[in-house]
Amino acid sequence: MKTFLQNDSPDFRANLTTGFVVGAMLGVALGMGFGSILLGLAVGMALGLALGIFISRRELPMRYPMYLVRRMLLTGTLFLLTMMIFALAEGMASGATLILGAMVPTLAGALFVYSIGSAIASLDEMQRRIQTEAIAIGFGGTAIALIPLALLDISTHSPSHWLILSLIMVSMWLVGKLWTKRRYG
Amino acid sequence: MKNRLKVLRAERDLSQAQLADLLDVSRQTVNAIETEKYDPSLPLAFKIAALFGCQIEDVFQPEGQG
Repeated sequence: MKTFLQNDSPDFRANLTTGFVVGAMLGVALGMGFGSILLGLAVGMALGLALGIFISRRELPMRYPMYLVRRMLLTGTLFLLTMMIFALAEGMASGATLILGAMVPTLAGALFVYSIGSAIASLDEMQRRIQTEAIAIGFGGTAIALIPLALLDISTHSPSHWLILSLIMVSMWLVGKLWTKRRYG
Repeated sequence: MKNRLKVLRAERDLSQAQLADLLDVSRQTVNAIETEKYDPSLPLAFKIAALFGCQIEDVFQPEGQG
């Protein structure tokens, strides 16, 4: 059985290109934040290429077609980039411009969610069940984790950072996925 | 639910990956069915039975029977 792509296959080249572009974009954005764009670009491109080789060289745990993996990577990167750009430029804009700027990550996020939806639709029945149960555990876990957070917010009158909520959601989803994969794996 | 998938697959000298390709599912799904961690849907169960040229009850039996 073929478990990885051949070096001359179109998918392999597309994976390398996607990894390269994704790495370069994130590298530049992070480089800007740390004051060294060139270093960020170089490290990002190298890590992106490594990611392209990595996803080409192993059997995917889920049955996503390669083009969907690439689409998820690109749209996810676009989402992160637009969030970063907004965070960096937040102080420079105001009023309607600020609202429009805040809408851009929403559009990128919608594209990302659409890509994830397409990927889940391409799975077989058991893998879809794994994803559904993981999402259910993630949702329930996030709701439970938010209770003490909300109580602390009320008692200290200092709202929690939105990033904490995102981190809790992602962590709970990962816990749910590990749990269900262990159950069916 | 108990099943004879592993035996039927071995009789036809098929690997899990080959069977997965024939059924259009992942190898992990074939493995989960064989180890009885996952019960397939009715359409997939019929597909498996048809692939091995037998009745559905020849492949799958409820717990406590067989």
